[in-house]
Amino acid sequence: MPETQPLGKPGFAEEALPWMDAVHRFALRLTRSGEEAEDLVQETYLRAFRSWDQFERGTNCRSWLFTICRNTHLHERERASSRYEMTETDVTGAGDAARSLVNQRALAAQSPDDFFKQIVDDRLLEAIDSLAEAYRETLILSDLADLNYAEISEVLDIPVGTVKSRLFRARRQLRDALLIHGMKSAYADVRLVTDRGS
Amino acid sequence: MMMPCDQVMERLWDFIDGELPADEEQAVREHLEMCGRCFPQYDWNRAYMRFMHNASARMTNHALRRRVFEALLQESGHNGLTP
Repeated sequence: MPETQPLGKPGFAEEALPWMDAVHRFALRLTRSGEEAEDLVQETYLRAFRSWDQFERGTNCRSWLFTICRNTHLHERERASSRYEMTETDVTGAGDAARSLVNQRALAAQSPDDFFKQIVDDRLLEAIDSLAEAYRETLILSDLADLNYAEISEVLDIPVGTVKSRLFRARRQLRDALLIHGMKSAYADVRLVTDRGS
Repeated sequence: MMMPCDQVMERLWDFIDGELPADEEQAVREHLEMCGRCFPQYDWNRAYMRFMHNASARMTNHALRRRVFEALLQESGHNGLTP
Protein backbone atom coordinates (compact mmCIF):
# COMPACT_ATOMS: atom_id res chain seq x y z
CA MET A 1 0.00 0.00 0.00
CA PRO A 2 1.52 3.34 -0.96
CA GLU A 3 2.50 5.77 1.76
CA THR A 4 -0.15 8.47 2.07
CA GLN A 5 1.71 11.28 3.87
CA PRO A 6 3.69 12.80 0.97
CA LEU A 7 0.59 14.23 -0.71
CA GLY A 8 0.77 17.26 1.55
CA LYS A 9 -2.95 18.03 1.66
CA PRO A 10 -4.33 17.07 5.06
CA GLY A 11 -7.23 14.66 4.89
CA PHE A 12 -7.13 14.06 1.14
CA ALA A 13 -5.60 10.60 1.26
CA GLU A 14 -7.86 9.44 4.09
CA GLU A 15 -11.10 10.84 2.70
CA ALA A 16 -10.74 10.74 -1.09
CA LEU A 17 -8.57 7.74 -1.94
CA PRO A 18 -10.84 5.05 -0.42
CA TRP A 19 -13.48 5.87 -3.04
CA MET A 20 -11.25 5.21 -6.03
CA ASP A 21 -12.72 1.80 -6.91
CA ALA A 22 -16.23 3.21 -6.76
CA VAL A 23 -15.25 6.19 -8.92
CA HIS A 24 -13.57 3.78 -11.34
CA ARG A 25 -16.70 1.64 -11.66
CA PHE A 26 -18.70 4.76 -12.39
CA ALA A 27 -16.13 6.02 -14.91
CA LEU A 28 -15.99 2.64 -16.60
CA ARG A 29 -19.67 2.62 -17.30
CA LEU A 30 -19.79 6.31 -18.24
CA THR A 31 -17.07 6.01 -20.84
CA ARG A 32 -17.59 2.31 -21.78
CA SER A 33 -13.86 2.11 -22.34
CA GLY A 34 -11.22 0.76 -19.96
CA GLU A 35 -8.55 3.16 -21.11
CA GLU A 36 -10.77 6.26 -21.07
CA ALA A 37 -12.12 5.28 -17.67
CA GLU A 38 -8.63 5.14 -16.18
CA ASP A 39 -7.82 8.54 -17.66
CA LEU A 40 -11.07 9.87 -16.26
CA VAL A 41 -10.34 8.55 -12.77
CA GLN A 42 -6.89 10.08 -12.83
CA GLU A 43 -8.25 13.43 -14.02
CA THR A 44 -11.00 13.29 -11.39
CA TYR A 45 -8.48 12.77 -8.61
CA LEU A 46 -6.15 15.44 -9.91
CA ARG A 47 -8.99 17.94 -10.04
CA ALA A 48 -10.18 16.93 -6.61
CA PHE A 49 -6.63 17.27 -5.30
CA ARG A 50 -6.27 20.75 -6.76
CA SER A 51 -9.63 21.83 -5.33
CA TRP A 52 -9.25 20.10 -2.00
CA ASP A 53 -9.11 23.44 -0.17
CA GLN A 54 -12.64 24.14 -1.44
CA PHE A 55 -14.02 20.85 -0.16
CA GLU A 56 -15.99 21.37 3.01
CA ARG A 57 -14.64 18.85 5.48
CA GLY A 58 -17.29 16.74 7.10
CA THR A 59 -19.55 16.81 4.03
CA ASN A 60 -19.90 13.90 1.64
CA CYS A 61 -16.56 13.32 -0.08
CA ARG A 62 -17.87 10.43 -2.15
CA SER A 63 -20.66 12.51 -3.71
CA TRP A 64 -18.18 15.31 -4.32
CA LEU A 65 -15.85 12.95 -6.21
CA PHE A 66 -18.68 11.51 -8.30
CA THR A 67 -19.79 15.02 -9.20
CA ILE A 68 -16.28 15.92 -10.33
CA CYS A 69 -16.03 12.67 -12.28
CA ARG A 70 -19.32 13.21 -14.06
CA ASN A 71 -18.63 16.89 -14.82
CA THR A 72 -15.19 16.01 -16.16
CA HIS A 73 -16.68 13.34 -18.37
CA LEU A 74 -19.38 15.67 -19.70
CA HIS A 75 -16.85 18.40 -20.28
CA GLU A 76 -14.52 16.08 -22.17
CA ARG A 77 -17.34 14.75 -24.26
CA GLU A 78 -18.65 18.20 -25.09
CA ARG A 79 -15.21 19.14 -26.17
CA ALA A 80 -14.96 16.07 -28.37
CA SER A 81 -18.34 16.60 -29.96
CA SER A 82 -20.46 19.72 -30.13
CA ARG A 83 -23.43 17.59 -31.03
CA TYR A 84 -23.84 16.27 -27.48
CA GLU A 85 -27.38 16.01 -26.30
CA MET A 86 -28.76 14.20 -23.31
CA THR A 87 -32.31 12.98 -23.77
CA GLU A 88 -34.68 11.31 -21.39
CA THR A 89 -35.61 8.42 -23.65
CA ASP A 90 -38.95 6.85 -22.88
CA VAL A 91 -38.31 3.16 -22.90
CA THR A 92 -41.78 1.89 -22.26
CA GLY A 93 -42.59 1.15 -25.87
CA ALA A 94 -44.91 -1.46 -27.29
CA GLY A 95 -42.14 -4.06 -27.46
CA ASP A 96 -41.52 -3.77 -23.75
CA ALA A 97 -45.01 -4.92 -22.83
CA ALA A 98 -44.65 -8.17 -24.75
CA ARG A 99 -41.13 -8.69 -23.49
CA SER A 100 -42.23 -8.05 -19.95
CA LEU A 101 -44.87 -10.76 -20.18
CA VAL A 102 -42.31 -13.27 -21.40
CA ASN A 103 -39.98 -12.22 -18.63
CA GLN A 104 -42.63 -12.60 -15.96
CA ARG A 105 -43.00 -16.21 -17.08
CA ALA A 106 -39.26 -16.72 -17.01
CA LEU A 107 -39.14 -15.21 -13.52
CA ALA A 108 -41.50 -17.83 -12.26
CA ALA A 109 -39.50 -20.70 -13.71
CA GLN A 110 -36.34 -20.62 -11.59
CA SER A 111 -34.98 -19.39 -8.27
CA PRO A 112 -33.60 -15.83 -8.27
CA ASP A 113 -30.13 -16.76 -7.05
CA ASP A 114 -29.84 -19.59 -9.60
CA PHE A 115 -30.77 -17.17 -12.34
CA PHE A 116 -28.20 -14.54 -11.35
CA LYS A 117 -25.45 -17.14 -10.86
CA GLN A 118 -25.44 -17.84 -14.60
CA ILE A 119 -24.83 -14.21 -15.53
CA VAL A 120 -21.20 -13.49 -16.22
CA ASP A 121 -19.71 -10.06 -15.57
CA ASP A 122 -19.23 -9.29 -19.27
CA ARG A 123 -22.90 -9.84 -19.93
CA LEU A 124 -23.86 -7.65 -16.98
CA LEU A 125 -21.63 -4.84 -18.22
CA GLU A 126 -23.02 -5.19 -21.72
CA ALA A 127 -26.54 -4.94 -20.34
CA ILE A 128 -25.64 -1.87 -18.28
CA ASP A 129 -24.02 -0.27 -21.32
CA SER A 130 -27.19 -0.82 -23.32
CA LEU A 131 -29.18 1.46 -21.01
CA ALA A 132 -29.88 5.06 -21.95
CA GLU A 133 -27.30 7.32 -20.34
CA ALA A 134 -29.64 8.94 -17.82
CA TYR A 135 -30.65 5.52 -16.55
CA ARG A 136 -27.18 4.05 -16.75
CA GLU A 137 -25.51 6.63 -14.56
CA THR A 138 -28.33 6.50 -11.99
CA LEU A 139 -28.16 2.72 -11.79
CA ILE A 140 -24.38 2.68 -11.45
CA LEU A 141 -24.38 5.30 -8.73
CA SER A 142 -26.96 3.29 -6.81
CA ASP A 143 -26.30 -0.37 -7.44
CA LEU A 144 -22.56 -0.46 -8.12
CA ALA A 145 -21.35 2.58 -6.19
CA ASP A 146 -23.89 2.29 -3.37
CA LEU A 147 -24.93 5.94 -3.14
CA ASN A 148 -28.29 6.67 -1.52
CA TYR A 149 -31.09 8.60 -3.25
CA ALA A 150 -30.10 11.95 -1.74
CA GLU A 151 -26.46 11.51 -2.78
CA ILE A 152 -27.43 10.56 -6.33
CA SER A 153 -29.72 13.57 -6.46
CA GLU A 154 -26.77 15.77 -5.48
CA VAL A 155 -24.36 14.23 -8.00
CA LEU A 156 -26.76 14.32 -10.94
CA ASP A 157 -28.45 17.55 -9.86
CA ILE A 158 -31.94 16.10 -10.23
CA PRO A 159 -34.80 15.74 -7.72
CA VAL A 160 -34.97 12.62 -5.54
CA GLY A 161 -38.26 11.68 -7.25
CA THR A 162 -36.48 11.60 -10.61
CA VAL A 163 -33.72 9.46 -9.11
CA LYS A 164 -36.32 6.96 -7.98
CA SER A 165 -38.17 6.82 -11.28
CA ARG A 166 -34.96 6.49 -13.31
CA LEU A 167 -33.71 3.79 -10.99
CA PHE A 168 -36.95 1.88 -11.21
CA ARG A 169 -36.89 1.92 -15.01
CA ALA A 170 -33.19 1.19 -15.22
CA ARG A 171 -33.47 -1.86 -12.98
CA ARG A 172 -36.42 -3.16 -14.93
CA GLN A 173 -34.62 -2.73 -18.23
CA LEU A 174 -31.49 -4.36 -16.88
CA ARG A 175 -33.43 -7.28 -15.51
CA ASP A 176 -35.22 -7.69 -18.83
CA ALA A 177 -31.93 -7.60 -20.73
CA LEU A 178 -30.43 -10.22 -18.42
CA LEU A 179 -33.50 -12.40 -18.65
CA ILE A 180 -33.43 -12.30 -22.43
CA HIS A 181 -29.79 -13.29 -22.29
CA GLY A 182 -30.65 -16.11 -19.88
CA MET A 183 -33.36 -17.40 -22.18
CA LYS A 184 -31.04 -17.24 -25.20
CA SER A 185 -28.40 -19.21 -23.28
CA ALA A 186 -30.93 -21.84 -22.28
CA TYR A 187 -32.06 -22.11 -25.91
CA ALA A 188 -28.45 -22.48 -27.08
CA ASP A 189 -27.89 -25.26 -24.51
CA VAL A 190 -30.96 -27.12 -25.75
CA ARG A 191 -29.77 -26.76 -29.34
CA LEU A 192 -26.35 -28.06 -28.41
CA VAL A 193 -27.77 -31.15 -26.70
CA THR A 194 -30.18 -31.75 -29.59
CA ASP A 195 -27.45 -31.40 -32.20
CA ARG A 196 -25.18 -33.80 -30.32
CA GLY A 197 -28.03 -36.28 -30.01
CA SER A 198 -28.95 -36.27 -33.69
CA MET B 1 -54.43 -3.46 9.32
CA MET B 2 -51.89 -4.87 6.88
CA MET B 3 -50.61 -2.59 4.12
CA PRO B 4 -52.22 -3.59 0.77
CA CYS B 5 -50.15 -5.29 -1.95
CA ASP B 6 -50.21 -2.34 -4.37
CA GLN B 7 -48.78 -0.02 -1.72
CA VAL B 8 -46.09 -2.54 -0.86
CA MET B 9 -45.12 -2.89 -4.53
CA GLU B 10 -44.89 0.90 -4.82
CA ARG B 11 -42.46 0.95 -1.91
CA LEU B 12 -40.54 -2.22 -2.66
CA TRP B 13 -37.33 -0.68 -4.05
CA ASP B 14 -37.35 2.06 -1.42
CA PHE B 15 -37.60 -0.72 1.17
CA ILE B 16 -34.71 -2.70 -0.34
CA ASP B 17 -32.63 0.47 -0.70
CA GLY B 18 -33.22 1.32 2.96
CA GLU B 19 -34.92 4.60 2.07
CA LEU B 20 -38.27 4.20 3.81
CA PRO B 21 -39.27 5.90 7.07
CA ALA B 22 -39.21 3.46 10.00
CA ASP B 23 -42.98 3.02 10.26
CA GLU B 24 -43.41 2.26 6.55
CA GLU B 25 -40.42 -0.05 6.59
CA GLN B 26 -42.00 -2.02 9.40
CA ALA B 27 -45.34 -2.21 7.56
CA VAL B 28 -43.69 -3.45 4.36
CA ARG B 29 -41.62 -6.01 6.27
CA GLU B 30 -44.68 -7.38 8.02
CA HIS B 31 -46.55 -7.59 4.73
CA LEU B 32 -43.71 -9.44 2.98
CA GLU B 33 -43.50 -11.97 5.78
CA MET B 34 -47.15 -12.84 5.23
CA CYS B 35 -47.79 -12.34 1.49
CA GLY B 36 -47.19 -15.13 -1.02
CA ARG B 37 -47.75 -12.81 -3.96
CA CYS B 38 -45.37 -9.99 -3.04
CA PHE B 39 -42.58 -12.05 -1.53
CA PRO B 40 -41.34 -13.63 -4.81
CA GLN B 41 -40.91 -10.17 -6.33
CA TYR B 42 -39.03 -9.05 -3.24
CA ASP B 43 -36.91 -12.20 -3.41
CA TRP B 44 -35.95 -11.45 -7.03
CA ASN B 45 -35.08 -7.87 -6.31
CA ARG B 46 -32.95 -8.84 -3.33
CA ALA B 47 -31.13 -11.46 -5.44
CA TYR B 48 -30.47 -8.78 -8.04
CA MET B 49 -28.96 -6.48 -5.40
CA ARG B 50 -26.77 -9.27 -4.02
CA PHE B 51 -25.62 -10.01 -7.55
CA MET B 52 -24.78 -6.34 -8.21
CA HIS B 53 -22.88 -5.97 -4.95
CA ASN B 54 -20.84 -9.09 -5.67
CA ALA B 55 -20.09 -7.87 -9.20
CA SER B 56 -19.11 -4.51 -7.78
CA ALA B 57 -16.69 -6.12 -5.32
CA ARG B 58 -14.97 -7.99 -8.16
CA MET B 59 -14.24 -4.82 -10.12
CA THR B 60 -11.16 -3.47 -8.36
CA ASN B 61 -8.06 -2.26 -10.09
CA HIS B 62 -4.82 -2.14 -8.13
CA ALA B 63 -2.73 -0.89 -11.05
CA LEU B 64 -5.03 2.11 -11.38
CA ARG B 65 -4.61 2.95 -7.68
CA ARG B 66 -0.89 3.07 -8.15
CA ARG B 67 -1.13 5.14 -11.33
CA VAL B 68 -3.39 7.74 -9.71
CA PHE B 69 -1.25 7.91 -6.61
CA GLU B 70 1.83 8.48 -8.79
CA ALA B 71 0.04 11.34 -10.56
CA LEU B 72 -0.95 12.88 -7.23
CA LEU B 73 2.61 12.64 -5.97
CA GLN B 74 3.88 14.39 -9.07
CA GLU B 75 1.20 17.05 -8.69
CA SER B 76 2.34 17.70 -5.14
CA GLY B 77 5.96 18.01 -6.26
CA HIS B 78 7.29 14.69 -5.00
CA ASN B 79 9.21 11.99 -6.78
CA GLY B 80 7.31 8.88 -7.89
CA LEU B 81 6.83 5.67 -5.97
CA THR B 82 9.61 3.12 -5.70
CA PRO B 83 8.90 0.34 -8.21
